[in-house]
Amino acid sequence: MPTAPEVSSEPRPLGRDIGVAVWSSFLAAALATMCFFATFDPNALHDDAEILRGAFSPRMTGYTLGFFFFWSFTLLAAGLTVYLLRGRMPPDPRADGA
Amino acid sequence: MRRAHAPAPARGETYARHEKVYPREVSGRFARLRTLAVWGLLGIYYGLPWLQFHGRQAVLFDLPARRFYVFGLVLWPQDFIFLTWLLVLAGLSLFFFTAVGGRLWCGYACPQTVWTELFVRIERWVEGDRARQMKRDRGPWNVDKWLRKGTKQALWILLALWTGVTFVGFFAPIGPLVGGALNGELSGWALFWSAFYAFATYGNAGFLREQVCKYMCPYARFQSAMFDSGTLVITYDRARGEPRGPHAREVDPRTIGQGDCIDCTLCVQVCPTGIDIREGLQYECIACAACIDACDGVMDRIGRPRGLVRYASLAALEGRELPVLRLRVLVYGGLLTLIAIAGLVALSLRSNVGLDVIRDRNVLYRDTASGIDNVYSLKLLNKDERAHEFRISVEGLPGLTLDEASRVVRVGAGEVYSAPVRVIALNGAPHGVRAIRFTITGTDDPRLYATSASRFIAP
Repeated sequence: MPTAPEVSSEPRPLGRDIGVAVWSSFLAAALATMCFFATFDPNALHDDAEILRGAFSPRMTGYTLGFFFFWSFTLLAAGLTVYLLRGRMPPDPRADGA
Repeated sequence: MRRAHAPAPARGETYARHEKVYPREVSGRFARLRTLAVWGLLGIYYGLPWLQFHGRQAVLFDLPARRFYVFGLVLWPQDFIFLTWLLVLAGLSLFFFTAVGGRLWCGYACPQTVWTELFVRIERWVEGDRARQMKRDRGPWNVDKWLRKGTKQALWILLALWTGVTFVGFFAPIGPLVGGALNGELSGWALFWSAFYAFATYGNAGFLREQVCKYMCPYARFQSAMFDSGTLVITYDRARGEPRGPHAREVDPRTIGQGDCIDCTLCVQVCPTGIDIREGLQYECIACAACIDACDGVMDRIGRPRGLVRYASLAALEGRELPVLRLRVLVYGGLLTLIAIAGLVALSLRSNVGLDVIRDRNVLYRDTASGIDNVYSLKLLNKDERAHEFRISVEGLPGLTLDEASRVVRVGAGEVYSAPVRVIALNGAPHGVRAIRFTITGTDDPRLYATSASRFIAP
């Protein structure tokens, strides 16, 4: 028999919000990586950026570092958004009144 | 107005605690269709990288070499527009099929559905059917539970690893990759990305399942924008089913005002997202049609017509008929056709050579005995899979010639020829800045043709 789902007035589970932020930022980072590296060859950037001089294969290192570079920033944006939406607003001082 | 002293839970702060959904096994028309789709798509995914074409991997998005092979087609970074085209095409197809048939994508083709189906099958194979799984999960951790859970996890992890290696096999040649994986010699990024994708597969299909659709999928949230009352959705025929309740054997339920629904809750038990379709259209519904199969089976057994739960448009349930070819469908379909044709035409007209000409910025011109000369840096790209000879010519001014050495060049397969060329305007040429045009033509194939504009400067 289906039972009524247990409802709580706690904020949404943190895990769910983290999941949403991680996933949406992952999609955005994947798209950014694709567009960026379609235009720029990591090997060409390689000459300018010391950090891309990787151990295995410069291009694959470039793609991977690029992806995580983008992901770190999209994750920052998505994480902040989720965090700001989660927090309770401070009480409205005008409502205190009288 | 909000009162600080009377904190009430704000809207959206309530949530249902997540409970594991144990979908019951179902058989029927739509289950067969989904099985077919799942095996077909999995076959394509796991098989495609092994397909050979003209001595190389047929489909290979060769990232290390920055070249995409799709059967006879070789795409370069310069052809990025075609990737964009494919994405737009995929998006529009999703719009089109959603408008016509609802969430067909979710029910039959989405990787989340396909791999979840595979993982659930393994779970059922090892742990038994729904009832057994629920009983074991409630029970103590005995040998049988450890053994079965362990076997399931091992199979899941192996499958996830194979999925991860296959994924990387779309981006780097799969033969050496699998060879390396079997010898434990996978290196560097191949190993990293195989593990990454394996972890994502395991997490999404084994652990998160319907939660991906409910909380993480953007399409689930905006698909309703493509719906209208003519869209096929999975619906419960309330007028026919209600009031629900068990039927007595000796009384015809219709004579005592009972509906066809016997409240067996099979439709709820088979639902992979754990909803009750009888409560109406819900965004959690991924349109897998498992409830239709379950209910049809029940209707057959109690001798009532099928289709208490069925694919129907909201208009049809209200007794109205909407044509399949509605404005929305025609617009999505028209756009889809137009963009598909435009892309195919562009693809067939796409040249296998590229030409890039940049004027030497350091010297405007040189005055020599025979005339004025300008220097250009020329980049010739041969995107074909064979080497070709190209004739370079320049026009736009009378008496314009190229220096001897650079009139015919040979460029290897997939190589870039890069060299400075000298263009000479014989004495008596016009003065000032003039537009000129460089052209390359394959000596063995005139279709290999590219042209690029530049300027010639004379005093």
